[in-house]
Amino acid sequence: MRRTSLSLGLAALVAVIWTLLPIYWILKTAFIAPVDAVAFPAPLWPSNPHFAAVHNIFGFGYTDADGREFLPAGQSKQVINGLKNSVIVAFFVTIITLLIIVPLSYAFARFEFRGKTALLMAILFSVAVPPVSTLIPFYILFVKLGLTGTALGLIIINLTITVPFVTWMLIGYFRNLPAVEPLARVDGFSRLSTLIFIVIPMARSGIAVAAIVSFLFAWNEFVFATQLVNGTPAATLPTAVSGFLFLQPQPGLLSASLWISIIPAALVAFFLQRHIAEMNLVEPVK
Amino acid sequence: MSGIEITNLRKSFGNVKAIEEMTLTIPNGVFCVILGPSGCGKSTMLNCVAGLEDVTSGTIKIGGRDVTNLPPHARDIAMVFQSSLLYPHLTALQNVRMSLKNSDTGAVEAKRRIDHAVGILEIASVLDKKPGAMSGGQRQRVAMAKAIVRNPTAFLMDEPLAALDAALRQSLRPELAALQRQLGTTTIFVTHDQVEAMTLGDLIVVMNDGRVEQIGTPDEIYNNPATKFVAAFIGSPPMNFFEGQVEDLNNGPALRTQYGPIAIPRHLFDRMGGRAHSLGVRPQHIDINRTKTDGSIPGTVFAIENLGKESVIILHDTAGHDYRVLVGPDHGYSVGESTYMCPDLSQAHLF
Repeated sequence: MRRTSLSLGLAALVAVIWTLLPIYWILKTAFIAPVDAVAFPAPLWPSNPHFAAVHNIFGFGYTDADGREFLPAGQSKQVINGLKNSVIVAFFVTIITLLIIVPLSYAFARFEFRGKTALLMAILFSVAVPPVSTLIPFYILFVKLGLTGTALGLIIINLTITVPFVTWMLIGYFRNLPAVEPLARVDGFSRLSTLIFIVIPMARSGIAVAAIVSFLFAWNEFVFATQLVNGTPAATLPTAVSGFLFLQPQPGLLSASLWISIIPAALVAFFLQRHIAEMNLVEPVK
Repeated sequence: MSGIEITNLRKSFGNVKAIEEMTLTIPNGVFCVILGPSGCGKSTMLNCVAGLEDVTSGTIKIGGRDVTNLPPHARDIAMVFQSSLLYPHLTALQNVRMSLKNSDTGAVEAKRRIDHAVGILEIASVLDKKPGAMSGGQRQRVAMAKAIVRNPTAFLMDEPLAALDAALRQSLRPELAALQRQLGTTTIFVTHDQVEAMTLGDLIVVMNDGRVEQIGTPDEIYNNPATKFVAAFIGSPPMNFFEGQVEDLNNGPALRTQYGPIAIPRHLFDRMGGRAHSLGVRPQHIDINRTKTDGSIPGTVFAIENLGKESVIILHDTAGHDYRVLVGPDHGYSVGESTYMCPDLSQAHLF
């Protein structure tokens, strides 16, 4: 028993270092002076915290303790605009995904109807198709429809990924919930009110996880955004941040913009993580 | 006022007949148990009464009112589901309240009924708990409270005790019976457990394969089984059957078996005549001996189940049929011994 927990602890430690160290490395770079950022060996810890980058990235100038002046970053407009666009896209993708998938996966989980298996296979197939393979057809379509360079176009294309993926995930979750529908019928609920007043509250953990997955996907989505909105006013944060890669190295600003892209996603995951645990660990009462 | 009247009820799923034809009148206040093996149509029948399934044909009256085409909540019933199903995300109190949410019961009346039910079932301490945090017995009580607050004309219960462990089932059975007597509400209770049926029911309906095999009191069902199915299904250990051909021989009617004729009392023969081909005898009505006597049937001891105050001896005949015989604790038999069975024919049944 003791040995198991020791090796488990070691494995967890390795996993945590493996995932978090690179992120930590980038994030600490936002708080060190440009001189330190290129020093060798690099400092493990921002022992001399320096806040120029986090000011500059938002378009503010900064004068440090030594009196050196740091000008607002040239990219600050794009970053702030990207942040705004990402929030809009991720928010609407999440909301629309939920509106579609909750009734859809509930119907798949609970009702028998003609063509159900074929439809399920179609959903599974659309999850299996690599998104890149649909990129060019979508691009041509969007050019003709005038949807390139718009948040609307990006929302639509994000939905084509999130809806099938999350539907597939939620069907299993709904199937595992106790069949309270007859109970609800005896209590006088119609089918629709059963879904709204009984099933959705009962399934809130699964729905919350579906929301996290959709939000994070839309928030992080890069490939479609690069093709459809990069360089336009609808550019999202990942494409704006990627702009740094093609400029002269500014590790501090790059790191600061990564902070901006990580924080909202981390907050969403943090506040809904209880539901991830609940969805996976707690066996629903049958 | 009448309780529940079911007339010529039929229910099919596509080509599959779940209930072939059922007519059943349950007088007001009676505890009626529907007993049968799984898949016999008993739950389907209950769902038809509840309105969860549409009937294919026939009528259902509850409290004298034709409810055949009414939705469940308009039928003035309350239902307790398999394993005392509750809403898992709601507390006990919220679960109970759900019963009245869509009714026109006023707030004051609702509170009075809930307080009453909570008092009767002694669930005040679990009102804030969710089903997952309750024991099986507590869930059962909350499910009952949820049913009681509706103040229904009929309770419908679909194997509510099935998922509980044996000890708990045994302690909840008399409580459930007492509660039903106290409330005097007509009840249909579906189960596959004959002990539940015998101990709870004023009236037992034995079903098999979508058909009603027999309707009667527990005594009638046990002592005068109408069909071989009922005879075999009720009683533990189950009834023994000696197979053969019934004939009226010179020295009186007898069952011709491969071991020779077994004489049959005249009154049994007169009821069934030559159509019968098995003789049913309960395990407590067979004697076993080491010596052959007239009309005895040979059997080898295959196993002995010691129940403490008595033992069940399981015998095999040469054809490999099982026979169970109840004997006292000091029977002295051992596995592999050859014995002879003497059925008490005054307690036998012909099928």
